[in-house]
Amino acid sequence: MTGEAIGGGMGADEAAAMLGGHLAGPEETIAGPGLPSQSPTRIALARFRRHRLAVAGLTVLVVLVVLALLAPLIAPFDPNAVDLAQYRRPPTGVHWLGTDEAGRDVLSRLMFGARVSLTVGVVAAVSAGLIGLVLGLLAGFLGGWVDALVMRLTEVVLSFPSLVVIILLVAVIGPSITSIVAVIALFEWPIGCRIVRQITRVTKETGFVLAARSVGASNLRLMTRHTMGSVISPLTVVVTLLSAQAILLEAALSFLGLGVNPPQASWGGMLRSAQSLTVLSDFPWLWLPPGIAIAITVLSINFVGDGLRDAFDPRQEM
Amino acid sequence: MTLCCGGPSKGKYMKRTVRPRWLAILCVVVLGLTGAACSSAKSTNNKAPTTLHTVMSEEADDLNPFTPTLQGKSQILSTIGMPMLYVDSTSKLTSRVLKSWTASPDAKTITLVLKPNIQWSDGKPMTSADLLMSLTDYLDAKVSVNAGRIGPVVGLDALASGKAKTISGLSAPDKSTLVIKLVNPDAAWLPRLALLGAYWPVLPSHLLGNVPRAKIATDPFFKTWPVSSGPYLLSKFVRGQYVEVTRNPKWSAGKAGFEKVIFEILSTDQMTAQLQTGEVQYVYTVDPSDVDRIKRISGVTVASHNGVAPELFGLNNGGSVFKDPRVRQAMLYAIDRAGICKTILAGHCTTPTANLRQIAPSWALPTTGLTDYNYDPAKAKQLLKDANWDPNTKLTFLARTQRSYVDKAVTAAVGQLNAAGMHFSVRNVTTAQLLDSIGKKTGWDAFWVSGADFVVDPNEWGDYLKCAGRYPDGPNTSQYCDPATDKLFEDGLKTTDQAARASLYHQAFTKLNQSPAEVYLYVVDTIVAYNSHLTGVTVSGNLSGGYWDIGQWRWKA
Amino acid sequence: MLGFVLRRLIIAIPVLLGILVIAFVFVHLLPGDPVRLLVDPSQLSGAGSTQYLAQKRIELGLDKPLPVQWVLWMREVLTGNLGFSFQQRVPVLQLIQERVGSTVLLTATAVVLAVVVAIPVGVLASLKQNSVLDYLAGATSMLAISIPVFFLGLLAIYVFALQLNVLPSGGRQTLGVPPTLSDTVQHLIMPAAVLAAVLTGPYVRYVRQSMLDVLRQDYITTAVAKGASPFRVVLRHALRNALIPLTTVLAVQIPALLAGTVVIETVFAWPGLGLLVFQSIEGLDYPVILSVVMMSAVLVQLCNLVADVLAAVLDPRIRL
Repeated sequence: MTGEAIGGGMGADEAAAMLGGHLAGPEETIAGPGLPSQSPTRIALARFRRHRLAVAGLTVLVVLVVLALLAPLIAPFDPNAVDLAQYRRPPTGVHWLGTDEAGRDVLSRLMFGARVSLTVGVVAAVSAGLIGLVLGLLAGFLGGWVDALVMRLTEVVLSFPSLVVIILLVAVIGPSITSIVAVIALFEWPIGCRIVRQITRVTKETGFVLAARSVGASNLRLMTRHTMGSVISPLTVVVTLLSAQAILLEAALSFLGLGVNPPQASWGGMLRSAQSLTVLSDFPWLWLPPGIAIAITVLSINFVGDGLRDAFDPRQEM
Repeated sequence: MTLCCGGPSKGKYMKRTVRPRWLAILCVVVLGLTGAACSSAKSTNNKAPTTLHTVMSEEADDLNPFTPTLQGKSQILSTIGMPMLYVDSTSKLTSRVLKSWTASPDAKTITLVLKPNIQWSDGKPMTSADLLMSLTDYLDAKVSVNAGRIGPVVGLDALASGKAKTISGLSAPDKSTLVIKLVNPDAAWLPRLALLGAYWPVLPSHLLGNVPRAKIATDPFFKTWPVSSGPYLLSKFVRGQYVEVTRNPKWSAGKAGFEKVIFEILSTDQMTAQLQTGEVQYVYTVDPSDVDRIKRISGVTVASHNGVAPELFGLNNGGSVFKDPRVRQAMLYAIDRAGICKTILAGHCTTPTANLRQIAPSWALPTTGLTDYNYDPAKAKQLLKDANWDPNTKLTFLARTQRSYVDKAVTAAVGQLNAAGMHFSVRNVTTAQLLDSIGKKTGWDAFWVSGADFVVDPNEWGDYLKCAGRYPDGPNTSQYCDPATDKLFEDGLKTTDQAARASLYHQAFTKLNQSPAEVYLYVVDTIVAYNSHLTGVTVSGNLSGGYWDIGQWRWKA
Repeated sequence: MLGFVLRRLIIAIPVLLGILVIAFVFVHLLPGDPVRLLVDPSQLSGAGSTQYLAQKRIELGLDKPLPVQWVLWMREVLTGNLGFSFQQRVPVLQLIQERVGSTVLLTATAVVLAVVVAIPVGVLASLKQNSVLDYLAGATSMLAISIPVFFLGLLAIYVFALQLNVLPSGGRQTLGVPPTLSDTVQHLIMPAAVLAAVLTGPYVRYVRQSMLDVLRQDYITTAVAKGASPFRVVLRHALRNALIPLTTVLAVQIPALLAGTVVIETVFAWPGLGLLVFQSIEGLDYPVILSVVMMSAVLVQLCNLVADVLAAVLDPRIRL
């Protein structure tokens, strides 16, 4: 919910509502017992591959991840090396993307910045997804007071104005990658949780789970064996969209002065320090690279999320 | 947002064109509004205005002189109310209210004499009774936040303990004279009064004289300022947005140039953008890195004045890290302060090479026997080696996100300190966290802070270095303490003889040159930009003084 | 229906109380001392300022133990005053009243703009699935949400205010003259459009997706087969049902927007609630932060309720 208000980004709530919509449909059964267990994955994969934008997005992301991982090896300069003799130089053969206002190489900072943005995006979204998964499974499967408690908890979390609370919490813990990740994870899990709970409840009532229970399978085994399969696909979509949001959130927090600590490079931080009309009009090499990097990454993630959603959507015709 | 006017289309489910009527209406409305905007935004630009739009450099929570004060408030207060004494653009004391202000040679008696014919906006004359009441209120520590910032006056103890209702050391022998008896000799009393002047406008005793002092700070008078003495009168205060003032027809110093002046609260980018579009006519202060762009805007004048306040790295002198003065000297050699000034501040600054210059008026500065700390990383490393510096020492730098050039200067300076072998890690903090950490005296080693006006009197600097004033008791955030320096600064107050004072300050400053208390990075110029039709603008180094001459501003077609 | 509403309202009470306790704890965990923050170090002068600060601490009630402070604050909430701002020295209610109008104007305009654009575009995109228009709508909405909003805003100022000089660069109105409608609209266009651009993308995708779902339903096909005009079918049946999920999203989004537009407010010098909250967090102004959090929480509960009721009204299959 945070992304729209501050950083843009497709809301995970959108995913929730869409998935929720299809879950609510009475005729839908996810991974119905009649189908062979292998085929949905294969169908999904085939569908995903047909989604050209999603494939392109995935390719871009893989390239970015590789660049980020190899940054210490391939970055042309030390991203934090201050050199006032190289103050704000336009791109040259040596500094491909120019230098910034401390004489640091923009390209190197961009590469190292990718590590922060991608870490925040992936770790925050996956953690939120995991919290949602665990609580959702518990709520959906155990029902009763556990369910009631978890649902009240999601309500409490969703009732907080999330940007305000995120700013508040980052201010309490102190800004750093860890705190940004932690705060996003803590406040973005309810959507995933609700979806997982819903699916779990549907699955619980299907014949094969009842049958399994009747032959004495334990609750834990039931949960893991039978429910995970149907839960994982919609959750993947939510997590993808959340990670796009998380990257934008890092940028927004940097804008508010709550980003990662300097001199560490992050895309949001680079964009923030270029946030001035003078830089905008006179020094495009300071804002174009991080701006484009954020846009492309978020766009790619959203396309991948789109592709995944279409791939997992049982109503899509082949 | 052109999506709403998508062309006609035929869908699988449709036989005829879909173009609902409300959609068309909406298109018209949106276009119409945009059109209206296009036609009228420009028309406001170039006519001779009766209203001047300018800016406040900081938000003012209220316009009450007794509550904790920010710069924004002082700018408005010095526009609507005349301060007793203030600092002009050459850092000399001046006044529009007083004919004379003198200290006795023993620096224990101050005499203020009002100009004749100064009147309030309701026509009543300003008298020494007004001065007497105003000072009594401002000096009462129970109601006035700035009370303790000026040397004690005889009888203040009795007032504080409740034994007396007035301050016996303040007396008004005639209608225009106020005599102030000080407890200790204080040659810096008048300069200090001038620095506080913007926060302490003269108050009308014929309206506030009957208000009990305990209630003065919450009196409704300060919400509206129905009567004041400056070139303009308060007409509107909209919290967080703007303050509007209108011309005072009875201003004693002449006729102000505009019917209305509006002070807006704007970010740096908003300021310069609105200056360019003509929405505001004066902006203050301009970020040095924006100067080149603003100079290119036609019809805009950029003016500047040497700054009076250094920006500096405060150091935790209370801990063991900076005990050895060679470590502090090494920091000065390690940072390319001249380079930062030349590049990041685009040359709009002065570099305090001796770590002193600009920190006091020139008469108090020694001219010989000083070390100039020019950028020399090799020397920095050598000094650290001599001081047995452990390169594994982990240091914490507390940074607040600031105006754009500050962030960059901090980044560059900290980067250079790291390169010299002092490994600082930077922590972004809020002001609250910064004060909290400094107050606890551990968990930090250095931080960025902007200094106060150190050019009016040499004693100002001393106040920030005194042992007794170490934060949280006083303003000495760097926790510096050297009783010998303290003594020199104290003695400097005991006489008004400038030559005698100068020799004491020369000693103090030579000590501080050899054993630096803080790292003075640069003194940034005060830069303003305004519509070239505006005349009469004098730029002052002191930031609180941005609008002290606003009564003289005129619009020239 | 009435029973449902009452039940929901009763459930909301413990949730709200929980939020208030958690928020109170968070706020007091913020590092720093609000009283110390009131006074700049340069204004400190030993005994005099110590006396002043001690007095302030008592005036603000910060000398009391935390649970007592919570109870006192709850009392303020129940009397409707919402406490007294530390920094601005006025009742919090007054502060909120000063700002809430601007925020509502901005967010309402943006949401309406976004919905008004998103519905036709989404409907068209769904009717012409996989057409050029569909892809264009998809791509544009994706791009708008992939750029950090502060940058979009700065870009807009640069283009429309500085280069084209057709719109004012910021603020809510031209000051010093009586406010007029056209002046307000001019100031509103850029911030509202930037916020709307961010919101429109998801809405378009939403409307499109739910339209696709509905159009596949049997009753639509039946209606068309029976000879109903396709235009009427889309407008009457399909759109009506497709809007239900959108109301759900709006219900979640609107309260979040009220305090969540701080970035846009900063960029466009728009005097709204978001900026107030952000400054209050920086200034440790506990009563203001708590009041806004509480207000948003109440709004979330209300909006959810309204959304559920609306859904029931729109879709006769849903019974409360």
